[in-house]
Amino acid sequence: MWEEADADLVAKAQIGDVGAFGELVRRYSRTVYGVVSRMADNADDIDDIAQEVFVQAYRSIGSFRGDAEFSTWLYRIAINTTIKLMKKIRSRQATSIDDPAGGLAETLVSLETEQPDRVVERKARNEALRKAVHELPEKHRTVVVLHYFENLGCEEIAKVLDCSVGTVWSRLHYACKKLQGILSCEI
Amino acid sequence: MPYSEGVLRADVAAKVERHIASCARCAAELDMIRSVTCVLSNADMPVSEPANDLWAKVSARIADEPVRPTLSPKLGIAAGVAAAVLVGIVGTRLLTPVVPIQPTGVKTVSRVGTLTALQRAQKPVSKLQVRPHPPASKSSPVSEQRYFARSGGASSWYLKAKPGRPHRPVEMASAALKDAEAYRAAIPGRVPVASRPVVESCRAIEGAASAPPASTGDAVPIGGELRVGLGMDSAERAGSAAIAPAAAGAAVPVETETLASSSPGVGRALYGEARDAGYYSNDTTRAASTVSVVDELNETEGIRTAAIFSY
Repeated sequence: MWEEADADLVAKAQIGDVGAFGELVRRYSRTVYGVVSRMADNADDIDDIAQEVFVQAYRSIGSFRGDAEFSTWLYRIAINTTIKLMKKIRSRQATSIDDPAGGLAETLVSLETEQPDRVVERKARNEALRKAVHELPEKHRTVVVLHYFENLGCEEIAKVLDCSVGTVWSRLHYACKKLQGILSCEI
Repeated sequence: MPYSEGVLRADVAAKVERHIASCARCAAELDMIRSVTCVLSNADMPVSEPANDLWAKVSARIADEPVRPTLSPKLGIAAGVAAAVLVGIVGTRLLTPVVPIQPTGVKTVSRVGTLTALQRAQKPVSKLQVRPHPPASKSSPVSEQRYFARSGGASSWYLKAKPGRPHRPVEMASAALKDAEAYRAAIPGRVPVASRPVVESCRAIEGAASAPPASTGDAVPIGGELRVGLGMDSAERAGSAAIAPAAAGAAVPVETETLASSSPGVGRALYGEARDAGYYSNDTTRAASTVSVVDELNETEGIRTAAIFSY
């Protein structure tokens, strides 16, 4: 049902129905923000990057042939757009990786109620993990974000990245070894 | 990784498990992967909430985008294929140069045409091997093309006529015997008509040419070699006269020096090189190259020589 609705909305958007595309934006805005948030370096850039993702999706909606799920196609656009804009932003201004406290730490969303000490400890651990993930190369960071945070399977990740499943496993294995060295004190 | 994720087939997972049980290195690797995976799975990476005005901003940006009608995949593919075929046809027509048909042929020489008008072979050419003739000397700017061909066991020189006309062997000796004067007159710059004694000696040689070759020792009868001396000097006449009795029946060694001594400039060039070049063999390539030398010398000495070989 959900997929059929997506297919119908895509078909309408392909013939120029902006309202149908708006519905797609509403459905997949959290998904796009999740990917962009975990891939981006600076919180101030997330909104701009997310807007660009949906604008690019509208421009290339006509090329969507329907041989894959709309979410898979949108993931690919989100990854590629985020990487491209991050490179452009880095070339224009200083990165905010050196100041993790001024980045995503201020926009943490925690649904759990914990004791202050544990909250501080947890925040510190998450920041360290976020920093460690951002230190990974882009292609390894992508598979970690999609697999461990977006909960995508390796087959779907292979479709998003247009590579083989073995390549996805290889990149995940390398990322784990790299993170193990960075987070040795956390494990 | 797939083993730690639990996505392997049961039989494959069992093999991996047996290996890990016996390999300390792989067991440590597996422990590391499982630890990192646990941390990542339990991590709470910060996620931003979507902006409230996200759609407003996106719609404002796409409002200026032109509406792009899309074709169905099948129609799109068909249109693309049709366009590619059309481009290919048009491009082929535009890029293919129009090459005018050039008439093929060789240069003809007036004297060649005259020569072929005088003498025609009886038998058609069964096998032709064309060898281009190098340009003639300055005295004769028109180039000729001759080729050595074999027809029914008899080898003759063929002088090519005009394009399109059949090629006929030219029996130079016979032509010279029959109408030597006309031949000589047709060739500019030649010496006057051969004298009667020369013609008679040639007849004798021709008659002896049909005699079977001797089988004695080192004698190599020329066998059909005929030298048509048109305008030969006295020394050459003597040489040819010496040949005539030999060809009449006695097997004598063929010495190119005999002729060369009487006419060094011509004899050696004609017979020595001719034999070495394979006049007596099937090597038409060498024969053709020798002909050019012979022709050059002929034109220099004013003597026209041809040979009829029979095998």
